Amino acid sequence: MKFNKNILIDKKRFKVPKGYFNTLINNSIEKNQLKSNRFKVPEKYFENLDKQEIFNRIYIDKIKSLKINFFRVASIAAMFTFVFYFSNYFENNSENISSDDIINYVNNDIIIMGNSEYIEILNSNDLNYNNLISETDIENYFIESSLDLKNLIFE
Amino acid sequence: MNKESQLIANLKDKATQDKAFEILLNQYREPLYWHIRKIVLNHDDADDVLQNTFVKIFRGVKSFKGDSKLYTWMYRIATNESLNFLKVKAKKYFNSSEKMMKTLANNLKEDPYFDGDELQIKLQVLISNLPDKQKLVFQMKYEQNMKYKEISEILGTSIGALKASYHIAVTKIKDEIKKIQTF
Repeated sequence: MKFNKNILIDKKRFKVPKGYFNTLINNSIEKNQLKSNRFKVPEKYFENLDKQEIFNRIYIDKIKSLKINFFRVASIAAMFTFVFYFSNYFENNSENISSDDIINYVNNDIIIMGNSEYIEILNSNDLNYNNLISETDIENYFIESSLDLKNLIFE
Repeated sequence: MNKESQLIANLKDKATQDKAFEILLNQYREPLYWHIRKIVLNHDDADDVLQNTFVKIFRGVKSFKGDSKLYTWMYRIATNESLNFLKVKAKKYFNSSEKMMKTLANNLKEDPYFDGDELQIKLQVLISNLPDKQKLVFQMKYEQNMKYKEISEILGTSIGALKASYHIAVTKIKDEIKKIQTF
């Protein structure tokens, strides 16, 4: 008798009594029947797990912790540099520098300054016209020093 | 000096450290693996946790004072590593650890490294629903056949509390089964 292999077998036809598996669990727990280890491992897993694998992981962990420590130290150093730089920056920009210091600085170091820079340095008192020498004083000066005004202009 | 003390001394000595670690690994990799596997269920996770455990053992053995037995100390590390691993995994991929354990237990159906039947999977799902302590006690007592004294040393819990936890765990599993049966 030939069987047609293409006929699908309906597995759902086979039934078990309601709660059959659960009753089995209940009984099996008490009889310790479920203790058998059903967990498996890949072939030769334990043989292949050698100390080198663990040492590699220790080495990788060491590198990782070194990297983390480096970044920690670098970030702390960067933070300190930042704080140090800005504290100096603000100190240097404070108005503690005396005018003598500035004059000495300008005299000792040859600095070419533009008009706008002079304007920035001068304040309104420096531009007080009352302090200017009067015209009569200038005339008297030329008369006393016997300088010819025309020659002076040409020079 | 007994064998264990000698092994510990060799592990602490830099000259003999490598050889001693190899002995330790060969002796304990299998029992520790199965202990971890029963907690995390999945082989890849168990492999990861086992390697982390041995890394911690290697690093920590220098400060091991010998207050407890070496294997008790290693089991404690393995247990903590497994529980921490699950916590991190639950936080990363699942909303809760209960949800994760249910998923992990249900995934056993498709796991190529698990050949248990419907009955075994159902039991694993029920165990996964238990709180951590009860789950550990049940697994160590029922599945690994450990003595209460050993479990007590590993988990740092009194024997009385362990017996109570085991009893509660067994009762819960039975109750769960009854609940399913009534449906």
